[in-house]
Amino acid sequence: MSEAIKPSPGPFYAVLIFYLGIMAFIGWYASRKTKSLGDFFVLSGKAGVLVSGIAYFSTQFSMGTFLGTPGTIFGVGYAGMAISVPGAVFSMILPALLIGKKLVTLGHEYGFLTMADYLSDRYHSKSMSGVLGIMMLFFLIPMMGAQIIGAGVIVHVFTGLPEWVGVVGMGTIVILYCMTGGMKGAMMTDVIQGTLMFGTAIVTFIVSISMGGGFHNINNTLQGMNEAYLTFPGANGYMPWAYFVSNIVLWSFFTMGQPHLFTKFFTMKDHKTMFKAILLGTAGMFVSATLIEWAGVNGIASIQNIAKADQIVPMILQRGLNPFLASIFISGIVAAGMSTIDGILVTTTGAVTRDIYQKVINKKATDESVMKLSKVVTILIGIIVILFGVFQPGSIFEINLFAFSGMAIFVVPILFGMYWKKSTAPGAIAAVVVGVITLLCFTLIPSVKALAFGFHALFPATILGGITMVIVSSFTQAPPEETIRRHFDVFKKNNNAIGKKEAA
Amino acid sequence: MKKLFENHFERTWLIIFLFLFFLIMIPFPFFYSETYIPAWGGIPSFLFGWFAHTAVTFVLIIVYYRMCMKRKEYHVYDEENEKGESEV
Repeated sequence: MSEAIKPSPGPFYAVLIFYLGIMAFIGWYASRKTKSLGDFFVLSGKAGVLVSGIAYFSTQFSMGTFLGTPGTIFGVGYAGMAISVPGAVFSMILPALLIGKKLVTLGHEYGFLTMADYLSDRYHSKSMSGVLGIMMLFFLIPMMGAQIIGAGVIVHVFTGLPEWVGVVGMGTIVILYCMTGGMKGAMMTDVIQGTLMFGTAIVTFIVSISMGGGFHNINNTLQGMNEAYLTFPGANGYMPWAYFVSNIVLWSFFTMGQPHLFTKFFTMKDHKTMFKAILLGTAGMFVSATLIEWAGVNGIASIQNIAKADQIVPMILQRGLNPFLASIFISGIVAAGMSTIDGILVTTTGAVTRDIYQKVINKKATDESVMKLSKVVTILIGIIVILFGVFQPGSIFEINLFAFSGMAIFVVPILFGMYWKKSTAPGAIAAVVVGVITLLCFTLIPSVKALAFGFHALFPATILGGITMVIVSSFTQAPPEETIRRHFDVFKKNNNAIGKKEAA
Repeated sequence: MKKLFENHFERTWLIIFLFLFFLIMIPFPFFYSETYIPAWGGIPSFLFGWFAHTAVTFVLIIVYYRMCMKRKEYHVYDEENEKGESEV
């Protein structure tokens, strides 16, 4: 254990047990209200403003945002805040403008519950479900793993216990309330978790300024240590212009490819709810990201001898507040991880039970049997995630970024599916395969990575995926005319209905 | 004509938001600076550039929302929800 860590296990356990008790109660309460498969996966499209807005924000913002990103910024300085801050305001409006409005309509008209429902119907191909399901298992399990690693870091800083204890504890609680309450449990806990995350960001920021002796002192100290902390590309050269641009695009435009965020549009009860959720979610994301990341910069001036950069935020809280208050606000970070895992766990369970099992393996499976299977699958995936967290193959930020990028490739089949009638299932599958291979090559092979000129690997992956989509679709058979009409004329139908109503 | 107007409405707003989206990527010193330009409290000035840009974009999101709510195609499911579906 690092000398900088000063465990205070008593208050930490007391607060955490109280907090987890509330989460478990919500899971149990939601399970009593969860009657159908639609309820389990998307709340039957009845989520209101508060739930939709906060759930979107708390699902997108994770341990990555609250531990990993400030940890990364700790070595960079102010330039590191470009990871989330300049692009945060676009993280909901861009997806809403490009696909959200259409998804709310499609969800209401055709009862879509998941991204696979949409893709397999639009491309008239069950194999789309299978491809998406496999991709989700491949990328979303690491994404959940990154969250759970954060729980281990927190437990270690606050109690001195080994990290695996936090990993197993958090994993077990999330599995329990997702298994019982499904999306209702996940979204109801998201509201509490989102609020707590918001509070944690504000308090951590204030504490970090107080510890550093005010803005002037902090910035003077940073300038004395290394002026690069106050400029681009940052102290370790992490944020050159190409990467600055990449981050703005990555955490806004590419959120459209994330199944757990995509699904949120199906849960919204109408367009008015969608807009109010955008305002609430955007404000929450911008304020939280700015403050928690800024706290990471302030921490450079006041905290040294840190064993692991991911520990910076827990250490700011631990050093700047009394143990009880520190524990209350650290549970806000636990909340960030849990709210991301629950959203993804329900979505990944859906991928296995609905997209692979019900649509490909056993087409006669009833909703009831799928619901029962979902609970078993939730446990199995949860156990894999816990094992991932115990073995920790990388830092929270690295794993999160890798997993996010992998799923982001789905932007290609989603956007082409919505805006180009001629796009076909073979085109979509080929685009995803080419996109993922390109992403892996540009991430793992240094000589190939250099060809991206400093931009994130997702850029060439998306461009090549898009080109593949156009080429393959041009040589393959388009979905039946009836399917295309259903997906493109539904918006005209709504307008016609309004016209008729006005005439009447 | 009506259809054209609707497309025009959506397209105009998409262009406005895309313009703002690409604007912040331009390496103006108030968005991206390789030299230290201190502002209030010694905070680098590019942070205030980001905040101003976010504020303008957020206000435009509110304006867009209000304009959308005046259009009937954004109220198609309101009636359906008023028929007794409980809000969560």
